[in-house]
Order: sequence, then structure tokens, then C-alpha cells
Amino acid sequence: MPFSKGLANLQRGFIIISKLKNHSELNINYLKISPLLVVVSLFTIYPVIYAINISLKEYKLVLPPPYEFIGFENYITLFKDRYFLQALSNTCWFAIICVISVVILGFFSAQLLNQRFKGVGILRILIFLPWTIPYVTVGILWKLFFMSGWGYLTKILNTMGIFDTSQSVAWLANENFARFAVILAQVWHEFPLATIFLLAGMQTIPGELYEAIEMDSGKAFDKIRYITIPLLIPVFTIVIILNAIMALITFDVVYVITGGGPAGKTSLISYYAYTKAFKFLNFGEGSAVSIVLSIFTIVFVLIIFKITAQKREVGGLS
Amino acid sequence: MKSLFNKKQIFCITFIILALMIIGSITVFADEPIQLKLISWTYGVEKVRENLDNFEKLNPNIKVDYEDISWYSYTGDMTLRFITKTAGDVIYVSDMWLASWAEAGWLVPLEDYAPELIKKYYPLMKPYVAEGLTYKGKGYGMPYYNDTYVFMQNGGMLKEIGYTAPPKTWDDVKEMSLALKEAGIQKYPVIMEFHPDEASLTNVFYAMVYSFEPDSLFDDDLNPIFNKEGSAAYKALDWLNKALKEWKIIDPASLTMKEIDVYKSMQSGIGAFTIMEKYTLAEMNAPGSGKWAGQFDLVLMPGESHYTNGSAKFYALTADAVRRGPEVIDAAVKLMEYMGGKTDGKFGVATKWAAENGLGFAYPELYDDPEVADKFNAWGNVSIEREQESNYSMSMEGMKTPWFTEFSEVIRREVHNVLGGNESVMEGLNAMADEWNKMKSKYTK
Repeated sequence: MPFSKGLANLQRGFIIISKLKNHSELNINYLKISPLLVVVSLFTIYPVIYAINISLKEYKLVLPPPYEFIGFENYITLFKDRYFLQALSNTCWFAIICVISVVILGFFSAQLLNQRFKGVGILRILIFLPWTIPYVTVGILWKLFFMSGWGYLTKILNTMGIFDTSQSVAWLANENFARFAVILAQVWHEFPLATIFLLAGMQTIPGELYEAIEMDSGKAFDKIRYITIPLLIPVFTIVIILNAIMALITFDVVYVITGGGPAGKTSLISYYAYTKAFKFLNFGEGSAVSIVLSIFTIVFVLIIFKITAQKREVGGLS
Repeated sequence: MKSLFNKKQIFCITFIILALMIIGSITVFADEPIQLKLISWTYGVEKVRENLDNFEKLNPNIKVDYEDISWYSYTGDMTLRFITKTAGDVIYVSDMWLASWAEAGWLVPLEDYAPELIKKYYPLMKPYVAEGLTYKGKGYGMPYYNDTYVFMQNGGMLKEIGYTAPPKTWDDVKEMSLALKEAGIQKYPVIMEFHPDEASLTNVFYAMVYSFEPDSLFDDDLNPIFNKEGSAAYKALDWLNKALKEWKIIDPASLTMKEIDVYKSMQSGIGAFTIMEKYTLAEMNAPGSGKWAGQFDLVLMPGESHYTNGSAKFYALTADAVRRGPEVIDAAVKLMEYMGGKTDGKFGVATKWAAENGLGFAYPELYDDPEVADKFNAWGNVSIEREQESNYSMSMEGMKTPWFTEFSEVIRREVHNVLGGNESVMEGLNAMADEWNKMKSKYTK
């Protein structure tokens, strides 16, 4: 019947108009965020794609362009390069030890700052202070501390009469100590941020839960074990991921304190990538190193997310 | 309304105005000085600026903008600048980087733009300097400073234990070091600039190798011949290894020391023997620089041959300058000749660096300049220096390959591996040879 046909057409018309309206709203929203998308693409996505592109080429600046496409040859070369494998191994150990140290130190600092006592404000400032110092300055400070001859550590031990340091003690010439020095510098700089996150998390935990434990066993350890840690799992996840990324991409402290030595024992992937690109002028291999590092980081983050997924649900975050 | 001027008059007036504008602008532009950029590593920046000011006075139509970069980040920074075509017009270059930077097209042969400079100055230079500035048969620059890696000792300390004659062999160095230890004067008499990031570690290694036998690392086809027992490289690395671990006469802190750490240590009485670039002796013997100022001696390199390696640092013309056109090239060439050659018949700038800072120079005739000789004798020994430079110096073998910078890093890493106990001397040398062969096949395929 004409009326019903007309109504049906009208209904169809309204549906089309509403789709068009949603569509145009969508277009307007995309338009609003397009400047941000352009900036992100230009400074994030494009460099990554460009790096992948040149990692597949024989991009040596000492050779004339055009640079030959060689597929994964740069990656194969890397995994046969003992200096790269050494840097990779060093980076893994460095990241693992730094993350564990930062989490533990951050947790205990947060516990301390979560108490009420005289001077907690000043203590808070002192704990947060290292994080405000630029990485290069951190490197210089710790290098001065460990410097042989007139370093602060040598002077302190000499003053304490612990041993004769009338001549230089080559702290950073010892491979194990050099590793300890760069880890210490990294942890010292990063644990304040972990403290901030964990402290914020602790302050959201309802007091009633602690009161319940108090009535039950009353042990401080049980409070931490059954309340604090489980409820902070989501925060721990963020702290672990952030610190792992920072440790994996660390460059400044190594460059300043040890220069990658002695004997490459503190050479990390980031420093190795810099050496390949800017000293050896081999941008193909340098980019390949960076891509390997990125893949490594992504895989690591995914593993952490997987491991903590169930525990994060228990902690209230899914 | 009737116009004041007719069409013909308007046309003439317009033509005159336009002509005046064109002539005026040409005059203005003709008066604009040519802007050059000089980039160097950080050393004596005030003196460099002074030299540039004097150059500008002599060449009022040229203005030089000057920038300095830390030595330790120089290659990284310059790489970025080369890529972004902001490398300036004239830059400092080390002979160690010449091959790779020339192959990358970042430096241009000076010979292509000013062959008369090459003809005039290269025959006057010390052989290792002319060699250092040449790549694939073409001269690339004008000398800035050139020095040999020399053996230095604290003569004052040695006199205290009865040694007045310098060591002639590495066994002598060992004997004197042990004597210093026994006398309680030094815990570790030998200190070296062996920081993993210190490019001079390579030079020191070469100096020690050459002290046993010069020109002994590669054959004529640049194949390594050093990785065998009894070779000069083996003897040198073996001596260092034993000195550190068995005889305990090398300071373990050497593995963390850069040039400044070594001469500051020597000035404060830590260490009695070292190998460094000769100009550092001027710093160490500067009056008031420390208790031992004036008592550090320059000694002919101990060893069977007494040879050492010489290092050439020079001013080079960049591809960026060439891109800017003939006027800029011309101005840059003038600057390079002023800084590295003669002005009014004298090596003005080189003499100034030598007399005031003790920097080595490319032209042996400067030793006959009383101003230079007197100053050098005040902190060094011109006759020993002349003997070392003229008779017992050569530039580093393998340096004129694009992969030498990479190989230099391998040398530093392997020396550390051997001294750190991770490898034997033979393993270290084999690793160096393997890496060289890999690089050679990578770059020459």
C-alpha cells in the first residue's frame, strides 16, 4: 500500500541519514586527532619503518649508494658476532638484576614512606632526589665515586683505615666490579620512580583489610604477604615493565662510567648499536641491532603480561 | 590631468632607478664577507679563535664561524653532521678516520682543488705526516699537529734509586720498574692510557709492536702476519700481559685511564713510565704543574728497533664546502694554508702551537727555529725528538682501509681481553686477525 511503502522509505531514509551522521561524526573525530596522528607517525612509526628498511640493506656509509638489499644478512652476521652476543648476554643480566633490585628497593622504600614518623617528608625528598638527576650526571657522579686513585670510595676506605690506599685502587678495571658499578648507578636512579608507584598503590589499599589481618594473626609479615603484595600486583607489573625497558635501552651510564669495558664486560646492546652506526658507519647492522633490541623488549613485556595476567585479576585489574 | 613626464621620460627614469638598484645590490653583496665554518675537537679553543681572528684581519672578506666538539664524541657528532650536511667547510681530521670518511664522500681531496698546496708543502713534511694526509695517492689536507707516541719517564724518581741512563730495552724497563717497587717509591711504576674508549690505546699498542719490529703487522696484500709466536705483536702483548699479572709493574687502573688521567697521575707522582703523544710532556713539565714538573724525560722508545708510530691530525675540506661553490672553496683553501702552511714566508700558526703548547709539527725545518727549539728543550729534548721522528717513526699499517676504525675497536677489545685474563696472548692476536679478515672480505667483496 502506498502509505506503508512511503513509511518504509522514510524509515530507510532515517537509517541512512543516521549512518551518515555517525559517519560524519566519526570523520570529524578523526580530523580532530589527525595532527597528533601525523606527529606520532612522523616521529615514531616512520623511523621504525625506516630502521627496518635499512636493516635489510648493506647500508655502510663508506660504500657508495644505492645500498643493496641483502635481506636478513645483517641479522645473521650479528648472531655470528661474538661482540654482539656478549653485549646481548650482558644486557639480559643487566636488565634482570636491575629490575629485581629496583622492585625490592622500591617496595621497601614505599613501605618506609607509608609510615607516619617525624622526618618522613625529608626522607621522601632524599629518596626521590636521584630520579631528578639526568642520566649523564648520574654516570659522572658514580664514575667519580669509583675512580681509582682519588675517587670517593678510595678516600672513604682510606679514612676508615680499612686498607692501604696510598696508591690507586682500580675498581673499574675489575670486570665484576665494573658490572656492579653500572648496575648500582642504574638502580640508584630508577628505584625512586618505583617507590612513587608502589607508594601510591599502597595508599589505595583499604585500611580495613589490614585490620582484619590484625585481628586474625596480627603478624606484619602476613599483612605484606596476604594483603599488600597481592593487591599491588598490577603496580608491580607496571614497575617491572618500565624498569625492564629502561634497563634494556640504557646507554648513558655505561658510556660515561666504563665505556663498555673492561674487555666489553659492560657493553650493552644500546652502546653496541651506537658503536656500529656512529663509529663503524655501518647503519645497516646498527639498525639491525636496534630492531633486535626492540623485538626483545616487546617479547619481554608480553611475557610479563602473560605471567601476571591471572594475578592482576586477583589484584582487581584485568 | 596632464602628466609631469612623458612616456619617454618615465621610461628613462625607471631604467635609471633599476640600474642604480642593481648596481647597489651588487656592491652590497660584493661587500658581504664569505662565511666559513671551522669545526674542531676541543683543544686550545681560545688560541684557535685567536688564529682565526688574525686570519680574518689578513682576509677581511672572509669570516670564520668556529665550533668545537669534545674529542671523545667527535666521530659520532661529525657522522651526524655529515649525514645532515651540516659538517662545516673545514674540519679537523685524524689520519685514522681519513679512509672511511673519504670513502663515504664526506671529505674531498685538497689536491683536486688546490694542487699547488700539495706540491708546495707535502715534500717539506715528515714522511709519516705526508703519508697520513694521503689517501689513494691524493693529498687530503694541511697539517694541524703531528706527533709521535713517545716513551716518557720520571727522571727525578729514577735518579733517587741510582738510575741516570734511560732504558734501552723492555727488559730495562722491567728492571727499573722492579727497582722502584722494591724501593717503595712506586706500587705500579708503569701506567698507560688503556681506557676502552681511548683511541690512543691503538696507537700505544702499535708503538710497542713497532718498538720490537716496525712494519710487522701485515704483508703487502694487507693480510695479517702478526698472529704467531715470536712476532713483534706477540712480544709486545706478552710483555704487557706479564707486566700486569706476573711482575705487577703496570697499574691495573690503566684499563680505566684516558690520556688526561695518565698525565695527571704522573704529575701527582703516581707512575714513572708511560707511552703517550709527545705534546703531553709539555703539560707534565709545565712549571707549577706538580712536584715533579721539569723532571719528566723524553726517551728514545725502548726496544730492539726503537721505532714508534706517528699520528697526523689535519685540516680537511668537506664535501659541504664544495657544494657551496668556488668562492667558498677558495676561501677554505686560504684558511687551510694559513692554519697549516706559510704566511709571509713563515709557518706562523704551527710555530705558535709548537712554542706555546708543545704541539708537534709537520715540518722538520721548525726544529731549526730558535723560538721552537728553546721552548721544546725547556720541557723536552729536541735532539731525541728529532732522532725519534726522523729515523724511527712510521704511520700505522692498515690505517688506509675503510674498516680501520672498526679494527681499532677490535684491538682495544682484545687487548682488554688478554690483560683481563679472558684470553691468552695468542688467542687475542688470533681474534684480531680473524676480525681483520672478516672486515677485509666484507668491504672488498
